Amino acid sequence: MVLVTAGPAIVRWRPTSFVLLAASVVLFAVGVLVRSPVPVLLAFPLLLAPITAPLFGPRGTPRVRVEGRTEGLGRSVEVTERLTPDPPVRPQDLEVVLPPPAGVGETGPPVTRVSGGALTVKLSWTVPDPVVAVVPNPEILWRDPLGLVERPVSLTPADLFVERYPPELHRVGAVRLRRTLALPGETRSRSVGESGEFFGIRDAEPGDPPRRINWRATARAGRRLANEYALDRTGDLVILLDARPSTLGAYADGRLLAISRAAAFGLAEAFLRDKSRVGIGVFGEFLEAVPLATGRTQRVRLRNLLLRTQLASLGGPAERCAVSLRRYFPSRTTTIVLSTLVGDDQLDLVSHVRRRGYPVVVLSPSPVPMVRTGWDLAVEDEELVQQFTRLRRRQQVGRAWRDAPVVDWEDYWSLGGFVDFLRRPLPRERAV
Amino acid sequence: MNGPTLGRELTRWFGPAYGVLVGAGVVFALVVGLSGGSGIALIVGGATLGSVVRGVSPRLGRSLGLVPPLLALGILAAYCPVGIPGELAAGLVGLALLLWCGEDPARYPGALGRAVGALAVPAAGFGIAWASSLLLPSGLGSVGVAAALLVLSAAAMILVLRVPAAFDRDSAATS
Repeated sequence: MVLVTAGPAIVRWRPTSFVLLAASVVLFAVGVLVRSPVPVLLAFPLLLAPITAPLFGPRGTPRVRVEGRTEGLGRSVEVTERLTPDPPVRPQDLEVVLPPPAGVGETGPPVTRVSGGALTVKLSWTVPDPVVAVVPNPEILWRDPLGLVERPVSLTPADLFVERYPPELHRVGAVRLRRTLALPGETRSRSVGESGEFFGIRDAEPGDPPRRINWRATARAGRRLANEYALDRTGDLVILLDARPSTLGAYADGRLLAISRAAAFGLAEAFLRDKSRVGIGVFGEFLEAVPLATGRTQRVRLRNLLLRTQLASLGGPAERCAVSLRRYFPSRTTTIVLSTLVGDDQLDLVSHVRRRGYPVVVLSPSPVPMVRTGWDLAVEDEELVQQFTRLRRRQQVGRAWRDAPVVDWEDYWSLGGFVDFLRRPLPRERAV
Repeated sequence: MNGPTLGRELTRWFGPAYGVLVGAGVVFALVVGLSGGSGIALIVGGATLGSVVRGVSPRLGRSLGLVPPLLALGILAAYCPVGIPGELAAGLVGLALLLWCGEDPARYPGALGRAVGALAVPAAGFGIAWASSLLLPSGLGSVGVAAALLVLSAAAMILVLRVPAAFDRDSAATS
C-alpha cells in the first residue's frame, strides 16, 4: 500500500495561534500597565487554547483512504473523491484542497458532503482542449475543532486520470495498417496467446490465470484445462510526437504539445482496442520510445510516457530522430507524426523519417486558432492578420505535403477529417 | 454576486458563533460602561468587520479576521473597572472569541458544536485563574496571581511551539 504524506507529519500551529499568542502578550502588558487583572484574564483562555488544541486530535499521523472516479462527457469532467479517515479522526475535521491539473479549469466550487464516516468531495472541471493528465493527489490536513493547529495526513492515493480526446478516434481502429512482418497484418497470426479468437484447449500450467481455465472442460476431463487463443493483429502503428521547441514560444508550444499528447493517447487506445501493436516515440533533444506491443499493460506504458512528456528545452536534429527510430521500430511500419510544422526543423523531421523507410501520415495541430496579435487593432486589421496567418500556414502544410500526406488540425475537438483520411483505401488497393 | 448567492455567503460569514461573540461582547461593553454606547458599537463593529475579513480573505489570510475583534476587546479590557463582573465577563468573551475562531466559513456545517467541546480546557483554566484571584484582595494581588499563571502558560506555549513532536505518540512496532 502506497502512503503519501504532504510534508512532515507533525503538529503545525496555524497563523491564528500566533495571532492569539501575540494578542495575549499585548493584553498582559496592558494589564500590568493599567494595573488591572481584566486584560490578563481575557488573555488567559486565548493563550491556553493553542496549547491544548493538539490534545483533541490524533497522537500520530492520521491515515486517510482515498477512492475516486472521473466522469463526464466532452469538455466536462466530474471528479468524485471519497475520503475515509481511520478512527478516531472525524471526516469533519479534514481540510481538503484539490487543485486541478494543468490545462484544466474549475467551473464551480467543490461540493462536500459528510456521510457514513467519509467525506465526499465533488469537483466540476472543464477542459478547453483535449488533454491527458493525472489528477493530483489531494492535500489533506487534519484541523482541531477551533482551527488553531493542523497536521498533514498520510493518504492512500487513488489513481485518477483525465483523458479527453476527439470522439471520432473511437472508430479509427478499423483502419487497415500496413503489414510490417511476414504474417501479421490483416491476416491472423500463427502464434497463440491470451487473447483473440478461440484456438484450442490444452493442459493448464501453474501460471495460468483463472480466467483462462476452461471450467466446463476441466469438469468433464477431471483435470485442469486452459483455453488457447489465436492472436490476431491488424498491423503495427508508430506514433511520433515532435516535442521540440519552435518559434511559436513556450506557451503555444506547450499547449499544442498537450493537445498532441491527447491525440496520441486517443489513437493508441483505439488501435490497441483493435489488437494492433502500437509504439510511441517522443522526440525532444533525444528520442524516448516505448517499443511496439499490444494489450492493457502497453496502454499503461504508453500513457505513462505521454504523461511525463514535456516540451524539450533544446531540440535535437531531425536526422537523429530518424536514426534512433530504427533502433526501436522496424521500417515500413505505418507512422503517424504529430508535429506543428511551423518551421524548417519540424518539416525536416517528416522527410527524414520517410527516407528511413517509414510510411508517414502527418497530423498537424494548427497554431492558427491561438494566434492573437495582442495589439489594439481594428476588426478589419485583425481579420487581415488572420488571413495572412492562414496563408502562411497553408504554405507550410503544402511544403510538408511533398514528403507525406498532412491533415491540418484546426478544430481540436474534432478529428473526423483525419479518421476519414486514414480509412481511405491504400494506393495499391485503389489501383486494384 | 446575485441575491441567493450573497444570502448564502452572509449565512456562512455570520454563523451562530458570531451571535455568541456579539452577545458576550455587548455584556462586557455594558460592564465597562463607556459613554454613549461606544463600547457596544466597538465590539459589534469589530466582530462584524472580523467576520467579513475572514469571509472574503483567501485561505492564508483568514487569521487576519481575528485582529478587529481582538482590538475591540483589548480597548474595552483596558477601560474595564476592576471587579468580579468585569473579570468574569472578560473571560467569557475570550471563550466566545475562541468559539468564533472555530466557526471558519471554509469548514463544514456543525463546526460550532465541535468547537464547544474543545473549549473545556481553556474554560477550566480560566475558571481556576479567576477563582484564585477571588481569594485574594482585589488589586495588585490578583494581578500578580493572574500574571504568574499567564507567564507559566506562555512558557508552556513557547516550549510546545519549539517541540511540536511532543504531541506525537510512537506507533507500536507490531502495528
